[in-house]
Amino acid sequence: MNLAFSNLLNRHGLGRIASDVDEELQFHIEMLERKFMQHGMTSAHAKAAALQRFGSPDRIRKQCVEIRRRSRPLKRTLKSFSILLAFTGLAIHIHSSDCFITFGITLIWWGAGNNLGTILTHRLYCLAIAGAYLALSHIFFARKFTKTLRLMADSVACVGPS
Amino acid sequence: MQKLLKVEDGSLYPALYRMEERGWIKSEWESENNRRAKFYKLTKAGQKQLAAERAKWDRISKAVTKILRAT
Repeated sequence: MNLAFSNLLNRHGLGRIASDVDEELQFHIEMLERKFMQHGMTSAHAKAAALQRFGSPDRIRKQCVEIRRRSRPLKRTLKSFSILLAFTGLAIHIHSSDCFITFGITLIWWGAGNNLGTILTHRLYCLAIAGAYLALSHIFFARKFTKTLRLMADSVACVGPS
Repeated sequence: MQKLLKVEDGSLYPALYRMEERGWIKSEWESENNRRAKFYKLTKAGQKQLAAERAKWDRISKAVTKILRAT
């Protein structure tokens, strides 16, 4: 493997992914080599034919590592977090005063826009998360709202005519 | 014609990785001939996608066949 590319990958914690991809590609190339040798080719010819049939391992490795890097757990977590943020925005939008509406809509737009692919792929999960999250936020905000109302009622009663 | 449609074996892997990223297939390392090898399995979402793509392909190929027969 190209040393500079390998160093760059290791620096970003992607060395493991790259070595897994390497192992997978190498397995396929070796299978092709064995197949060509069974058809009477010499080892050197079989190796050359296998590489020709497979394509450039370096190019394919880079593509695979890039795809894997995109779908890393950290990124998935960040995506999920932004979905949660989006629904927080929605909750604020539903339960709070007008000054939060713009904030809520911005969060929904940002979260949904960034996660459109994930939302479309995992529609049921997203719907379940959204439902659960809205239910929780409803309980939380509703209790807070009721508590505030009670406090207001108490203070009115305190200053009211005795 | 055969050269025009030539696809390198290696081009399979980026396609597999993309399908896995979308949740259509799932991979697992298993042992074969005393070596680690990766095996891919179709997920439920993948089966749905496959059915949708098959239906899409059927529609397109029927449409093209109709056009070719009409000319």
